[in-house]
Amino acid sequence: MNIESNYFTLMALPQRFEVDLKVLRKNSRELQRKYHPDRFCNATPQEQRLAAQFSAQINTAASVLGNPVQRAMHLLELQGLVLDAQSYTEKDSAFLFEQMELRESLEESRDERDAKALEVLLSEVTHSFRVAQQDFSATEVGQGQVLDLPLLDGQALAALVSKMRFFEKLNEEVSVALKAL
Amino acid sequence: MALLKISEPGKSPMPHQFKRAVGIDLGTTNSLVATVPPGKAPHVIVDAQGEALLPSVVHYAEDQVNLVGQPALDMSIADPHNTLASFKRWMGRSTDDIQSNDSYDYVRPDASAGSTDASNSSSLVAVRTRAGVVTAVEASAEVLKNLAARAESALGGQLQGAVITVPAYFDDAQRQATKDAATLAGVNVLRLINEPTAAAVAYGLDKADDRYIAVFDLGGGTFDVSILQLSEGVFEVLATGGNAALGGDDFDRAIADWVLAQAAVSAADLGPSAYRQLLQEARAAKQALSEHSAVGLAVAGNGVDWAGELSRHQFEELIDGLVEQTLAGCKASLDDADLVPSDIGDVVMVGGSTRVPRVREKVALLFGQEPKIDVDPDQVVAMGAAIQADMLVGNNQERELLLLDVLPLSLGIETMGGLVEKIIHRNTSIPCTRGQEFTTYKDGQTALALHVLQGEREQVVDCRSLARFELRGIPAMVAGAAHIQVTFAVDANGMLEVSACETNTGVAASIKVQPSYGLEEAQITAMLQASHQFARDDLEVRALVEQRIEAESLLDAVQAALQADRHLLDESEVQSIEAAVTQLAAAAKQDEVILIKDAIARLGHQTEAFAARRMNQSIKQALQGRHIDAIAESVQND
Repeated sequence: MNIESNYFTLMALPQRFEVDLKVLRKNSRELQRKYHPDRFCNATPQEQRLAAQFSAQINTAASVLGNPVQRAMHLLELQGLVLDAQSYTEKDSAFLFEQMELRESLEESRDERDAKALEVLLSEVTHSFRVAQQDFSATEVGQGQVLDLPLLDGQALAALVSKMRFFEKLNEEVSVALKAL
Repeated sequence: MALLKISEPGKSPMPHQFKRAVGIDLGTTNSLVATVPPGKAPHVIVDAQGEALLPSVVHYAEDQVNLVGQPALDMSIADPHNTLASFKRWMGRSTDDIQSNDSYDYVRPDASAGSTDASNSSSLVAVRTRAGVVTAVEASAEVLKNLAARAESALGGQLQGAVITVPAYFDDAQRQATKDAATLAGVNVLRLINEPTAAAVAYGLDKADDRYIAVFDLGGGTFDVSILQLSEGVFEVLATGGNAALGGDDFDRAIADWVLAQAAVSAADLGPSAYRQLLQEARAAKQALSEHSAVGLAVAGNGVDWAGELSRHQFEELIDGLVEQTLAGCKASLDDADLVPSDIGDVVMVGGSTRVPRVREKVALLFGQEPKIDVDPDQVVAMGAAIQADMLVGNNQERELLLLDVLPLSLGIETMGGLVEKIIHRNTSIPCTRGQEFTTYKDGQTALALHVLQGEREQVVDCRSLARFELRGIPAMVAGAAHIQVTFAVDANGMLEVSACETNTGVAASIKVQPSYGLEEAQITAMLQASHQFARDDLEVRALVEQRIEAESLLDAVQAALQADRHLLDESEVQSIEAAVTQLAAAAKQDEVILIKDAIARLGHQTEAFAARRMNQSIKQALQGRHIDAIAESVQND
């Protein structure tokens, strides 16, 4: 048995950033229905083991494609570009400044227990997250074109993913702060 | 010539060949076994006396014949040391984990010098009885044996297998202990499934349209709430929560305390025996109040004599605080699942305490709908397990039931400074695998110790140790050069398996597993609550520890660099670097994150030029050692 490493192929979805989450969920269910270890209760231990591996792979594929940042990174990976989140440093000073400002306003509103300000911030961050996703989606990689590595602007793609990651994280932090009030 | 008949794989050659499969609810207080007769509805198998519930109690008798169930329960007051009850809370636990305010003679790991006790059962909860040292796994096995025998005599032959239910939050060690008990009892485990999922299956919700389901399980001593998602016949546990020390027994105590207050006496005045009797009366009153609007209560003994009446309204005021706690648990789990009460399509009630009208009323109010109460709340879990068992052995080809679960608690590993790095997050769909790359810390290091933990907190001391792994046979390399890929695999039953490999050389590191013990339920709940409450303190502690580690490794690196390449610096440069080193070493001893951060920055600044010179030198050396074709290849690839 060969486990497919392209999650889009595995999930029978077109290889591009835009993903129909309903179809993803449905296809993942369909695959689990066939390959979940429970379907192999009467099978050999080897078959059971393979089923467990395959079932795990299906779960991983579903969770990667279900998350915008991980989905973007998987698309880059399929192009041969592996991003190292730890070593990436932001060079866009305007965006760095924006990051600082957003963080400050989160801390301020959190310390002042200002629910209204947090809600405004949340909708702002959610919007920016969506815009960052649209920007990535508009790239050639986001559109699912397969290009030769030298034609890819790795720096620009990495910057887009880093932006998405920032807004995703901040979004979560603002939500947590709101819930804590 | 007759043609050979070949049946499709997995399908039974004879349509009526029935495989004997059962569902077992292995409970803290009571256990049950249920089955699905061919073409019929599931039902609980009763014993010779017609009883469905088997008390989860084992008595180790003088004549070597163990008593299980009601006869054992009858011995619990006369011979408490040799009568084990509520041992489900010991499953996969160590003696240190449990608060032993009971009369059992617990075996302490260091107390027994004998190699027989200490080697294997060293830390699993074990109790000395006249039959020897007994663990929860063995006591559970007695209960399972009893239920299996009951089922085999009712079904007329050996069981093909059983589905056993466990609480949704049971961790790796607890699930393993449950499986071990079945193995001991000679019961083939088809699957461990979560209690709330089984309850939903018993209501046939797997055949319903897509929806969210809340399972509210209020037993005698525990409260669990689970949020499930049903999607095209597939169940997923989205969130679980609850309180391991909240149940119907607390309602009884609330009534008893009220009586004591009315009679103006304390439990101590009354004495233990009269207080026990009062508790029994309180329980009867609680049950009667489900039907009646008021009930008479009396307490007598040790010079106390009081009689009065408790109205349903008063009773509800007594328990409202407790009921409110269960509702708070529901809200927290809804939050975890990112849902609001109106998202819930069905609410399923499990556990005897859900018979209390006030509980139903409050739950209905929270979710804006009447909860499901048609199936006996004591039996509903066993029935669901029976349906799943029937399907797994292939008796029921029509029902397309597939139960998908999630990991109840995050799995992580210990990193430097006693911190936990999460590898697989709580609520990840299982089965799943995650790879994580590790590297060596010192030159020539050939072994690596991994400590696997389960829990949500940031620090090792606040999480539960699951196992320690030792990887040996890593090829000796420079610090940081080895790439050790460790794979964590969690199976459909929620149990963990670990393997490792050095990716540069392909050498598979051998793994020595030293299993730890599980978490106590109360601790899990407490840990989860604490992780919400102390999230900010945790982060501050984490930041300090991280800064110290960074300081230490920077100091080590600078010292090593000075030792190797001092010749690249002039005397004044050496002096200013050494000054910054001294400053950082001093700062690292203090509890100020900012101080350490600043000192790190200063030393980093002082060594910038030094680092650049060292880098240039090493690139030159590297290029000198390389073959021409290797360089050509790398140029082509760039």
